[in-house]
Amino acid sequence: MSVTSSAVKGDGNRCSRSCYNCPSCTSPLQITHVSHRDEGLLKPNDAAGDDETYVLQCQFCDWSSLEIDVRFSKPTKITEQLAKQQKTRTSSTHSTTASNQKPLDHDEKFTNLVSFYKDQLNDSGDPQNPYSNSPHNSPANLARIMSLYGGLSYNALKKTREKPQPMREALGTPEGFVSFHADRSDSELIRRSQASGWDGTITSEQQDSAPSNYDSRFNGELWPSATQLRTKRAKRCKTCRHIIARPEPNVGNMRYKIRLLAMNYIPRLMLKSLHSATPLANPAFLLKPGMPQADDLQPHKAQQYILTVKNALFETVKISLATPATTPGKVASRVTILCPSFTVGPAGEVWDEALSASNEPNSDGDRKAAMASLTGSSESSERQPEAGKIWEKTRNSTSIIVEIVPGALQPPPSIVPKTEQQLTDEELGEDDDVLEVPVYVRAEWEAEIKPGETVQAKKDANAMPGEKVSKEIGYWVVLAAGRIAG
Amino acid sequence: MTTKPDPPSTRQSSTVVPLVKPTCKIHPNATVADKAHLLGSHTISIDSNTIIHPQARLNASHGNISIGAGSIVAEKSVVGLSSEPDDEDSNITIGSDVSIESGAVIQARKVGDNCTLGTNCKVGKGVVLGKWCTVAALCEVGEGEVLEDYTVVFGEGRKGRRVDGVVRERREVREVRRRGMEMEREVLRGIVVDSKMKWMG
Repeated sequence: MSVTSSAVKGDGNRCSRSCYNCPSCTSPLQITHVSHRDEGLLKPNDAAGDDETYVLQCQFCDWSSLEIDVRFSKPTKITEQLAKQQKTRTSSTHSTTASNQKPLDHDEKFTNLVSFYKDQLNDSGDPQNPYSNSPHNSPANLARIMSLYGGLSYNALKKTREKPQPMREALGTPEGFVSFHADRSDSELIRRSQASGWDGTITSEQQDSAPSNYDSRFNGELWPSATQLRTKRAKRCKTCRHIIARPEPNVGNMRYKIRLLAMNYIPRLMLKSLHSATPLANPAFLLKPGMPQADDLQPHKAQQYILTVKNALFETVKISLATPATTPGKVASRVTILCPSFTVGPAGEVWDEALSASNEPNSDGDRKAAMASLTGSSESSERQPEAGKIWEKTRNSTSIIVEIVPGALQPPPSIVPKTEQQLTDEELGEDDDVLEVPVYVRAEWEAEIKPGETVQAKKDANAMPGEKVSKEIGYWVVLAAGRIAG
Repeated sequence: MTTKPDPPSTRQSSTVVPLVKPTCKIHPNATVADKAHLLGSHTISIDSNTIIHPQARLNASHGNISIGAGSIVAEKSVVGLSSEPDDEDSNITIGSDVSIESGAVIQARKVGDNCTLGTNCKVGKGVVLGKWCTVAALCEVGEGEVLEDYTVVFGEGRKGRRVDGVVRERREVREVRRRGMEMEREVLRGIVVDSKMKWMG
């Protein structure tokens, strides 16, 4: 349920409907009904009209409003019913202890004080001043001026000076003034805390849970606290001011409608060795550091990899890949992308994927692939990668072949003796032996402008909804193939 | 789960949890799911109307377990000592109408009648819970604690405990709770398929 900010200004920042939190453990309270029939022993007269009463019950710590003996006749308008009960409760305690002037509660004291001081301000204010039109409206000033001109006698002057009554302070309970009494209630408190001990008292957090609990001291005196309202704010990007997340009017809805994250746009790349059956282990997750891996890349030995590009967009994407012929860094490896430009089909919902997979289980390609994966004698070993050809294509991913020739860690020996500078240059730093290939990915696609789309590039601003606009993104990625054997 | 058909061995306790079928005394009215795990070499006794969910684990490796009438042991909960007990008394006694909710880990020596042990709560070794106690979800009761009747554990330390006066004073609230348990058992009996013969035979 959302509350407008004007309502918050008027009613305060707590829920004014039926949302309450447990004063004991702060979890939300639920309205549960207890039927009267079982209480026959306690309330025999109540069986007449309403068969059911409602209580607020905490599902976590079993606190219930029965602890303060509060029941509700209907499950709606809890705030109203609660306020009424609280009022009758306090007024009844007053009437029973009226003789010994039981202190009023904070709200009443405050209203008394406010009305008293308003009256005082009216009484002592300007309307009482007979010279209210004069610029010298302070009585002291006036008196000085009058004495200067000698218009009035000293006694008369004294009288006029006394006329505007000085503002006095509140005196007595009807005016809101309450003095400290060391009365019976204090000894009562001491007696109660002696009886109940530390465990019977409540914590300061529980006292602060709601204004009605500020004066509570013992278990069983806590009133449910109205749930505090929370704000839900939209988030904007720091640089481009696009709205990244926008709150939903429906509180329970967690879906983000705005697709601005890179995850929703950029095609994902995956590198896999063509010949090894097991996926290539990331060098960062080696079990034993320094252990020479069986998969370590042999220098000068051409390796073929399957590069799979997976589309995250709902449109068909044209991909162009570019890479330097040799990798940058100390160890230069040669890299060749056999098919640098191709298309990737559109992504669908998760269900589409699952259904399309089950729809064509008997298709020839699938069976062959399954056989290949079972027997291990894959046809891919027979198949030769060809330049300019796509290796494999599924609905929203396309695989191509990349050929990498790892460079040697040690430079070739030379006859000419090397200088100091050259020697330090050749020294390998940490992780210099990891073969990493930088790849520039450029994706182009035609997007349809949806009516009411908030995210718009500037140049598309005058395009009509429903029209197709070509969009493109380009970015660099680094693909790690493994460590080069030394 | 694999169980050996031979009767439980004579050894009283072992550090390794053996895959020995415990001696089970299950009341004919009780419901024990096929996929429940009853293990250990000691005796597990389950009284009438009690329902043991699938994937509930009763581990009698270190002592006897007895569960009173009308209790519910939910899935993924573990009842039983996980390691060798510190003292002689290694048995676990759970009263009647006790609700052990899912994921609760109960190693208490005694759980009184009508207790509610919330989701994923932990009750340590040697704990004695009185009647009508409630351990709220995710709360813990440390080893060897003794809680009096009607205690509610909803937080940490002494301030996370309180005696539930409503339940103590009002018979009708207790009645409502009892009826709730009754309804829950009624529903569960229709859902949980009973196969106590597997454990008794």
